[in-house]
Amino acid sequence: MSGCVDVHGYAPSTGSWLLCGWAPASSGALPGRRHLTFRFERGVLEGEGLVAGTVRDDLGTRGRGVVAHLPSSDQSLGQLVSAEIDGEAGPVTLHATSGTVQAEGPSLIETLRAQRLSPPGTEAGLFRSILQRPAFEGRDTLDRFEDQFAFRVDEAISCGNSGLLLNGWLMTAPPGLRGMRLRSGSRSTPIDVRDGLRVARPDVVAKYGDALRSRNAGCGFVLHVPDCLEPGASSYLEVETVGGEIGFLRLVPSRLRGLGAIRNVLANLSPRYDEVQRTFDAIGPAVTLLNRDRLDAPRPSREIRFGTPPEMPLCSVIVPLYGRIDYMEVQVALLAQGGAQGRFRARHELIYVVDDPGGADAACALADSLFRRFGLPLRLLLLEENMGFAPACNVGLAAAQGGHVCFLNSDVFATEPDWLDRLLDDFSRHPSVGIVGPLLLFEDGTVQHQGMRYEALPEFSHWLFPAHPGKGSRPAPSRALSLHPAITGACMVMPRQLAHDLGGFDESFVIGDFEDSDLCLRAREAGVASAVDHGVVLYHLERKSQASAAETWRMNVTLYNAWLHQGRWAARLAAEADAPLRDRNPGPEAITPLPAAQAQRDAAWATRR
Amino acid sequence: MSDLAAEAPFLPPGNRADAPPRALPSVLVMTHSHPKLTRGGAEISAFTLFRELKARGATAWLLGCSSPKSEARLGATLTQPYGPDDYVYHPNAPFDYFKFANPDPQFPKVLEELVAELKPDIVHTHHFVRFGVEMFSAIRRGWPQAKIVLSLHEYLAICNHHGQMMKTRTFRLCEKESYSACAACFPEYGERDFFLRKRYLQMFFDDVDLFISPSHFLAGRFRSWGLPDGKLAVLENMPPERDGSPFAEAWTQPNEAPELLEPGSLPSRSVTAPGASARLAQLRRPREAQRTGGLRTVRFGFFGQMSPLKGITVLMEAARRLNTLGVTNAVIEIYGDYSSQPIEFQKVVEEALEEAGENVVFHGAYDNAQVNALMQGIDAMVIPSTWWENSPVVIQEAFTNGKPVICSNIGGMAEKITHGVNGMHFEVSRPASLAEVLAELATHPGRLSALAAGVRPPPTADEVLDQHLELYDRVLS
Repeated sequence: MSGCVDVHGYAPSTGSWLLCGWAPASSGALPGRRHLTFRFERGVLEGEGLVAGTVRDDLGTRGRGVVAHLPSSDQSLGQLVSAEIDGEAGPVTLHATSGTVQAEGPSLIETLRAQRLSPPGTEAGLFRSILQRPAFEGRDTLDRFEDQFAFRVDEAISCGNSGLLLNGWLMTAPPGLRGMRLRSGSRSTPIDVRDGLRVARPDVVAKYGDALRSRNAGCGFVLHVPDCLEPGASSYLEVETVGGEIGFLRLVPSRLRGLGAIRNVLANLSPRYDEVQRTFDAIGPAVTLLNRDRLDAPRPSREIRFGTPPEMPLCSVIVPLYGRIDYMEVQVALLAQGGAQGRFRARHELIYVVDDPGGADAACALADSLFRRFGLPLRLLLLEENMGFAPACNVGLAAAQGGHVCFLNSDVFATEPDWLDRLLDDFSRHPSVGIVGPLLLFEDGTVQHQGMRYEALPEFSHWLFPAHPGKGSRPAPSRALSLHPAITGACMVMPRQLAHDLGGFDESFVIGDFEDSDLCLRAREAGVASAVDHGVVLYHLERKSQASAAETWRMNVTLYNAWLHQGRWAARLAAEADAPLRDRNPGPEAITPLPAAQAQRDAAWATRR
Repeated sequence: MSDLAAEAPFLPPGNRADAPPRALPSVLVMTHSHPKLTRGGAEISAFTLFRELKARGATAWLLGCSSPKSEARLGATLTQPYGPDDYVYHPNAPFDYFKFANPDPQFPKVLEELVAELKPDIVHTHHFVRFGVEMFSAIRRGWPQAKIVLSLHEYLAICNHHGQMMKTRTFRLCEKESYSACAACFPEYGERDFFLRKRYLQMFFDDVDLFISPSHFLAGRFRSWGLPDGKLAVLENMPPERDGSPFAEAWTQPNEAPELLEPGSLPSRSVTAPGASARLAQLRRPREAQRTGGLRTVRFGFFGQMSPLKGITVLMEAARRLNTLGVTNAVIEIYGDYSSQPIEFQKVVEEALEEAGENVVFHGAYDNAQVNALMQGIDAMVIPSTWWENSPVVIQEAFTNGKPVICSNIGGMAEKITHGVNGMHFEVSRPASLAEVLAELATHPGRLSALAAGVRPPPTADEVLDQHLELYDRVLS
């Protein structure tokens, strides 16, 4: 049994392929929701569509008129060849003939609207409302819902190759909201902002609450819609009610990129306890994409050399500089101890990575002056954009020439001239150690860092966070080398080859948290341990920053990093987290035997203090 | 301890002499604010106790709370900025000053682990504010063998009005707390709130082995509040050190600009008009001889905060009445400060000073290290406090310098002064009564001398420490 297709085409306003034709009179009942198979020159489209009957006086008893609607976003299929309708009495096929017309847009809709739908009923009504759908003309038309619909998209942020991250709010929705589609060119993606992450928006309530008679502070949403954009096409939201009313909301592409975008989507979140896991499961993948966009961008840098470092340095000390540029003055002075005969100058190279475009001029001038004052050669790498701790360290690593590298924070100060040589000695004495750091003290002589362990925090979905045993307490003077799952990136030394093999710090961690832990844990997977040499003491003037409301996003960045870290390491670390947090004296099992020379140095150090 | 005792006879004699006497218990001394940071009476007592214990050869540790200006370390609840046996707690949550609850989720575990590590025989805490009363159960959990001693300062657990037992609106003396009376003082709370407050406090106080009160009067108030008699002991706080206290340098409070003095001169400072009162003091002195009509000038000293509770207005009014009574040889010397008083009261004090007759000399704030030198210049001390007081340190200071004390006839101060023996009582808050006493002493120098002869020096730090150790022994056995 076969019939004919008279007119067909794709209508953007309905988001579907439409056809108008006739079927043999002998076919069973066709109107209703039917499975449809449209065969085109360039492919086959199959799915549930809607079929209605039409009155065709011209056919007499030969056949019955039909119209069909098959939703799809793919409009580049070419000419229709045939359309198969799964009718009540079996499949019926309508063929295209030489007389079949392919129409577009308004003329197609006009042709179908001219049909007399029959019998009057559900299908006819539905079909009519589909044909009534307006086409997007570049304007917002949500006001057709009058004051029932309080809905905004504040930012539509490009996320990944063809995804969007919508940050907005939905205070009140019209009754019978059937759904929304995100449309972009020929693409149509059903979305529901209520499936997105709910976000507290007291600002919205403050501004519109009275007018809308709503106090729904949880009206905000962040929704990630992956793979929804057509390149070059503009995009909009199409909102449909059960009654078939359609409204449009233009999506203005956000200018936010990278950190700005991450900051925007994390600004209004303050999840705690069990919400943390849910929140970051929902938003984490999008943040990963935003961060990747940022890192994929080229990162131009230039190098300025002051003096000539040794040709084959034993160790490259890499210091990322951000904010307190002035710390460099004392840091370099202390590293340059001993003047021309100084140990550091003859053996190691010093690389500053200025990750602070605003401070570049000051850093250059200071470095120039420091080289003239202290004679310690300096390499200054200037980044054109603030990249964060991991990328800055990795830029330094790429430029490093030493057999080892030492990642050093700008607020870490060495007081002993041979500190680095003694840390390097640890590698030859303890082949199982791949990463070593000193005992770090605060200015008052209490412990800032002596190795990391992990603690599950109930406030943050029991994720594991680095804990710092003994922090703030007096150091125990008699230990030599203690092993830990990880040590701080404020000062860590490792063979350059190992750093390269591990790919440096993982830049997926945004700004600067957890990447030191991650690097050490990856080194452990690769078979080498991390250790603190308690005989080598440096000072780390870590500041406790005051948490403020403006810094909410920064806290959420930490949580994002924790989420990444958790996904990667939690299972393997869970057992270790059970040990008690406060542990001033590293357990005996963590201590490698003391070589005699080291023991002497320990004793000497203990006396000095 | 028993293992050590068994081995002791085999130690060489030299070592034995160096070793601390084994009878001394190890003590963790706690105070709500670290003495390096603030200098309240409780902190001074706690620090002196800590230092004297160590001087005696005992093992002792100090744990105090941070102040806003102390350096907090990210993620560290306990730090040791001042030494290996000296800890600072950094609260991570706002304290509940109504029922002295500490919501800081970090603290219980940190305190438990600390006492488990130190294993003190005694935990002696001066105060429970900022730590929270839950501290007692945390200590029990962490190191059950420890005996817990709490020194009571003020009537804080009893009274929500800063522990003063004074009515909030009328500033009348309160004789006894009750849910209804407390709710009347604090309309924002109901009787049930005070019921719950008391239940909460007493539940945690159950874990305390011994309460030390510096006066019988305060002990009596706590007994009638519900502390068991058998757990209450009366013992003076450790007397503050006067000789170059090691923590004095940290004591300069923000509102006290350090001043450079001429050698031999005494600090003398008015808050509002620096120099003016000092000049006043200088101007007045030469004229005194002619003013007093031949009688020896008798100097009554006031030392301390110039606050309503310390009775400064009672004293000023009494001075005015002395003039009316025609007593010309009595001089009131005021050493103190009113800069931390509410602004309205500052005005009251300033007006009173402006209008004061020539028999009032205002010297301004003084440095605690010089209190003995200053007291040498007076004949008797006046403590006109309008609240109960507990055991004011100035009484001990006056007695150290052999000076009799004239005080209000209530509470802890009246207990410490025997009327007619080492001082005089007058009717609290009644300037006329005070003026009468001052007039009598000024015009009968013999009586003053008799009172001075009746003054006995207060117990030394060594003696008070002995008494502490006796109490420790008592709770340990």
